[in-house]
Amino acid sequence: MMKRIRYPLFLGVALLVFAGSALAAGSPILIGTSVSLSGNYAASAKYGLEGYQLFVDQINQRGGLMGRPVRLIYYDDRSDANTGVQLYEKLITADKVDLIVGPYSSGVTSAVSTVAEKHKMTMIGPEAADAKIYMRGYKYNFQGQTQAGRYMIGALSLAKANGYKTMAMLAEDTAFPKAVSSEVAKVAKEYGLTIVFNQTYPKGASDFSALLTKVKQLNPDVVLANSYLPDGQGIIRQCREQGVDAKLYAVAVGAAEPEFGNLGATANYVFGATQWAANMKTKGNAAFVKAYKEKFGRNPDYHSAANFASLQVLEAAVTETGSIDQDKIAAAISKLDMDTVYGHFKVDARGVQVGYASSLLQWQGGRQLVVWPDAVREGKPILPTPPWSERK
Amino acid sequence: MDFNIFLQLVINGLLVGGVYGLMSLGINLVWGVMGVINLAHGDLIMAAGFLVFSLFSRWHMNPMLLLPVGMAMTFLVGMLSQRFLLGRLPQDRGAIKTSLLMTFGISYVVINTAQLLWGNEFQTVTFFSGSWSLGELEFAKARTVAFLAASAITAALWLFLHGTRYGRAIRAVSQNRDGAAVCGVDQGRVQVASFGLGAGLAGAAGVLLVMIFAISPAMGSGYTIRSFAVTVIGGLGSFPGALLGAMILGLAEVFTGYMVSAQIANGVAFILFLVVLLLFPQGLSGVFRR
Amino acid sequence: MKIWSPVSLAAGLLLVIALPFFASDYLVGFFFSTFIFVTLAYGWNLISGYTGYLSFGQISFFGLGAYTLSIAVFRFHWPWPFGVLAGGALAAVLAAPLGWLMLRLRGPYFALGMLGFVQVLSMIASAWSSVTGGGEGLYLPPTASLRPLYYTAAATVFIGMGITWAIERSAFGLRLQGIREDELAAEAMGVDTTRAKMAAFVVSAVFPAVAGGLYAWRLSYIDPASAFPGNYEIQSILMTIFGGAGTILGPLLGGVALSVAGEVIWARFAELHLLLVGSLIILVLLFMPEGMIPLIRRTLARRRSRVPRSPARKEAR
Repeated sequence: MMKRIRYPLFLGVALLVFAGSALAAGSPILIGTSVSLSGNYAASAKYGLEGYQLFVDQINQRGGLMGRPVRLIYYDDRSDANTGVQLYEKLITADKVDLIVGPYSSGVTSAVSTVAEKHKMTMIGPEAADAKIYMRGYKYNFQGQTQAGRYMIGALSLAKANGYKTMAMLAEDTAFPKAVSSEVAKVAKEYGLTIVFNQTYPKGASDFSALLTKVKQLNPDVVLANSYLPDGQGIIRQCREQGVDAKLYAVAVGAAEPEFGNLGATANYVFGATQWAANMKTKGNAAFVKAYKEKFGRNPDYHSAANFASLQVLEAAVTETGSIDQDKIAAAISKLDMDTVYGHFKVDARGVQVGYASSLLQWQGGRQLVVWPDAVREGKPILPTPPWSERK
Repeated sequence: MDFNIFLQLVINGLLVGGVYGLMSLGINLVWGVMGVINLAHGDLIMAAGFLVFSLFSRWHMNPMLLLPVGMAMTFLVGMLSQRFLLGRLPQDRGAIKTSLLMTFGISYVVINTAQLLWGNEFQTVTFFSGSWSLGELEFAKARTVAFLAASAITAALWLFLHGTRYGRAIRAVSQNRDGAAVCGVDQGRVQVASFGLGAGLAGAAGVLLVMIFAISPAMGSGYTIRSFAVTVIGGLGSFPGALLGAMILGLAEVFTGYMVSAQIANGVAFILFLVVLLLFPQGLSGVFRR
Repeated sequence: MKIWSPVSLAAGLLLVIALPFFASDYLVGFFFSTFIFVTLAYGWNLISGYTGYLSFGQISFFGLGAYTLSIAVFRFHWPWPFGVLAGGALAAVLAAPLGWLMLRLRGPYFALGMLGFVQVLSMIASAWSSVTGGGEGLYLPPTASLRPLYYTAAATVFIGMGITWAIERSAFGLRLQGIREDELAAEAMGVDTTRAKMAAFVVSAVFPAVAGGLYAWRLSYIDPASAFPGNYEIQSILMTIFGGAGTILGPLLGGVALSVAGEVIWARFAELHLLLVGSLIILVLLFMPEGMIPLIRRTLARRRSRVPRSPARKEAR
């Protein structure tokens, strides 16, 4: 039975935050955000929320932001862009939050960024990998996540190193997965890969057998699924059921979630993009992982770290300007060049993230191991993937 | 198209069709017997799936052994809904409207309860992995088991409806309510049993579905609409029609997904639904009846 | 006996006009959303409340209006009011042949048919990405101020009320109600039910389309999920039933009452939101299926006539 700790957890966090804010004097600084507590992105988004919550706890223990306690206000956007927009309007105009941070997924962030821009509220988007969002000339929005284009570089490098030639790509028909697909398509040739299949599926689709029957015919060396958790799981599982035997499987986001392991032995050998790993030597990372584990009883994933880091950046900007003036904070963030638990934060003139990098993990024996790049890896990548008939 | 590919697509379509058939039978029973459109159908499917998922997480037993548990739960929910809620509505001209809306209210309650009990995320039961191979053809294990189970349940249902007194009473009411009453059939009891049975079938479908796909509490309404599409395609009130409609839909989805795109495949259920609705109001089985 | 009079109507009008000057942005936005729902409710009221054809497909026109506005603004750079009007016009044009096809179906088949139609439109929106942006959607330039939207939405509500009022008092309205009560008998009496139904269907399609256009402009973003929100359909139906289907004030009263209740529930009990709404639906259907307006009318009538309750009175219910 999955740990039903959300209720007591929410209460516990709320109590902690109130206790923490009781320690620090002054009226609280409100940080508003929406979280995908339900819907397609729930599995990933909850890690992100915990990242925010851990940071708020810690900052209150340190005396708050500019001496004032911090409180996180969040609502469920149901993995839906429309709901997210309404919630941010509510946060800004009704709840009158002082600061905002981004929601989960490029799709929701994209819609919400317009709200932030309209109300001239600075927003770091830690869960928006689609760089196009930040190329619209907006002044108050900054990318707090590695660009989509860098997600699959590891998988492509390994493919090239092993001499693989053909690749099939599937993507959910929303902003981020399509961004990854188009970026990969641009550079595939440099890695010696020919894309033989490149199709999207609607959000919420669960039966991929027809698409995979097509893929099977093409017999590609590499199968790339630009997918979140439920679809990523479904694709890999159905690859096995339909007898698709690729030498390398990679899933953009889904494989980084611990829940991907619910597939059992089927999950092994699958690669996943991750921008961060628990043992990475980024600044303050070890302490972050330890504190997270103590508070939530499980390891953080890269969403937790990205969200935590975005609040680190926000704190730095606010502290530097000494105020909650959105214009000043925006100016500060655009010039920032700082180390966070997630890596090196730096945005270009448009707001696109150019500091964060990407790495690759692989499921081996029921565990996730970072296998690329060499500088941060914990284990060696196992390739090629044995055919399904020879596996457990 | 390569013949092997064609066969593979047919197999995939039929296997999925088996579960669709089960979903449709539940709707058929309730709609045919009582004229009630149960909008909570998909959410019952989902709830049974989640119940089995949570039991499976704890005990790791064969989900097929948990099938009766899922069915029993939804059967109970269905019976109670009919007895205490739907049965209380006035049976006048507007009854269809009000009962439909009430099932909608019930669906909301079911969804929220499932969310509170089991969370909001997508879950699946991975017990049957991979497939059985027959030459070049792959029979996905989970789907094949589900198809066999669905067939067994369908056969059992048919025997129940045609072989037992109770089953015949249900059929009598669906054919002619007043005539059945004259023959001494207790309306209220039959309605409670029918709604319960319809819900129980939904539960069975849910248990089978969670073995194949990932489900989440929000997905219920999608299954409801799909179940209705199958029922209409096959023809309301027709047992073989429901199965026929299910198979046709399963095949249509797979072939469209292969030949056109996944987006269109997602919507082909509704295109067929509208086409059949407008051209063959009796459903495809009605075409054959003539 | 009237619940509303020229005085209360004028007062209401004044309140609506004055609101943005003393209320917060959030409140104005809240009322804007409420007006959108009420507009949807009036559309549904016409085809389902008066004509008796239970439709689950108002959202199809809503989405059509939303996409029309988005495409008009995004691809053709039209000013938004024209986009909204274009949506309404397009919906009317589409509703005619659609109605001719669909209205032949009876009862539950019509309801399900419209439901299926929504899914088909949603699928088209998903697949026709060159025009609609597909799953990614379209981003519109952000709206500078909420007020023009608010006033337009309020105006739409008033127009909706007005049209409903005009229809109820007209022979056309009588024909529709005749169809609702007994279509066969109406036909036997010489009513051209097909024309009447189709006219009602077309008019009832324009409301959601206009609402959809305004909604899309407010959101500054559209994708298939936003354009065809399933919960909007059921909420507007619930509002009409709660307020009183087949009445003039029903959608307005039900809309405002349930919007406020929804906000309170959402703010305090977000986790139990669906549970509470579902229970509300069940309770309303069990204990006040006709809605608030008829209930209020009966209570006022009883009080005015001061006749003691008799068994015969109870039966007239």
